[in-house]
Amino acid sequence: MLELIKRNRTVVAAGTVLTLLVLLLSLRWSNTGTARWIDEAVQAVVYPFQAGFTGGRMAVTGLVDRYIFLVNVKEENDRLKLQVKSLEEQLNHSINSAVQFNLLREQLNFLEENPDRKVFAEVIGESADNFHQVLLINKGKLAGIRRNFPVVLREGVVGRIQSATALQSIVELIVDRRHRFPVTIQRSRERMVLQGAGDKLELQAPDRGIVLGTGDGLRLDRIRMLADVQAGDRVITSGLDGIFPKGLLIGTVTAVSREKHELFQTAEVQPVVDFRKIEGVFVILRERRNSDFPMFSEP
Amino acid sequence: MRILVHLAIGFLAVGSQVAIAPLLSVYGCKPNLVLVSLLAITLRWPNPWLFLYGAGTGLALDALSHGSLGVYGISFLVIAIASRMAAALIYENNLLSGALVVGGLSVAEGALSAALFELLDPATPWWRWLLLRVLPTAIYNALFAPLFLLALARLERVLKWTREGWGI
Repeated sequence: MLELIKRNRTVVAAGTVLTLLVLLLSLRWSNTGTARWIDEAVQAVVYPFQAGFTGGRMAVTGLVDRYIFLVNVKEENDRLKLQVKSLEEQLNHSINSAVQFNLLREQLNFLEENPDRKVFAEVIGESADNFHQVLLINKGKLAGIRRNFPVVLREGVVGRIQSATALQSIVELIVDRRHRFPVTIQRSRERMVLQGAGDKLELQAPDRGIVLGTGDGLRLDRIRMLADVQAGDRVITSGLDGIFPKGLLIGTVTAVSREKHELFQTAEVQPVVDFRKIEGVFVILRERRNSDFPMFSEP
Repeated sequence: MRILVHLAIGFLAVGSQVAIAPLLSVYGCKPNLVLVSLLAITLRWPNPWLFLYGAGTGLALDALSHGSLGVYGISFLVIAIASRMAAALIYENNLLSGALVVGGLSVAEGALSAALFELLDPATPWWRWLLLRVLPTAIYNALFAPLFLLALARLERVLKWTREGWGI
């Protein structure tokens, strides 16, 4: 027996390594605390390398961008982009404020709507492959960040914290295929407000759906057939998942698909955030109980 | 010595994947430089123990992509074995055949990884990924393969390595 193993030692070794890898993968499958512990341990080991390599690259590309090519054009472009983002945020904020005001929910939602504590973090890396849409940020548990905390930008939702170690965290972008969460069509909330203002008793509930990441974009699913969803509608978070605060902009509907034989409508959504150009993000520090027991988005 | 060279190449490949590959991204698709280096090494130096190198670099890529630990470990191990078999069929100094093999095996590796992801999450769009991610990446990898093969050939000359040294 020993002789047989010695003669075929490469085959035996390959089989052993393969078995160990399958066991490792099955741990992730079970999604237990051990799997998360391993993930976080690996992340802690990988962090210095990933941050170091990315930092080196950003230093070189930053030098080329800022000091060699078109310094003024770049600065002006950055300023204009910031202005557009600011206006976009103001528009979104105005619509949301009007809706909230007319519904007289400000008092009830005070704790939730009151500006949460936010932490700014710089992006220091991204996924090394083409299948996962994640970002590495330079703030972790020491800054109060925990798993499932929402990550946003001024213009809209970016994603949620997938895992956090002491000094850094992984942000799972909303376009990642593992991400799904409930949303609301903003126009339907406005309509509800108008009907409410007209003293109609039969208020129509806002049109809702679930946004799914497709890896390269967003798909809005589970919209009821009678819902009035059109291209150009703004999609916002519903707050039902216990992760994202209500009313954050996600994107706009670009196309709606209604098939008679289907139970629900689906729509394509163009995210408002350009994920390829993110350099920094805000992590909203929420109550711990919300992040520990989310109702949605668990992969 | 040879093991150290392998480790150094693996480290450089993983570093390049983090630091350089995002700069080469076209429409969100970046080359898999770790896979290209693995395939180039197995084609050029087809050692029977290279599956360990494959499993190691695959695990490193798993860790850096923050997905499911083990997916790339398994697919790289399998592809390292397949690549070693392919190495017996081609003339290693022909860059075109090397590039074609790298392209073909990249498709196989991508299909296997996507299948494993589908096992973990049935909602994974396997066909969509194959067409929109795996095939473009494979073409990209094939374009980089000659550079890696030339670099390894040059390294062989610098280190005065012979193929007999591998027991081939």
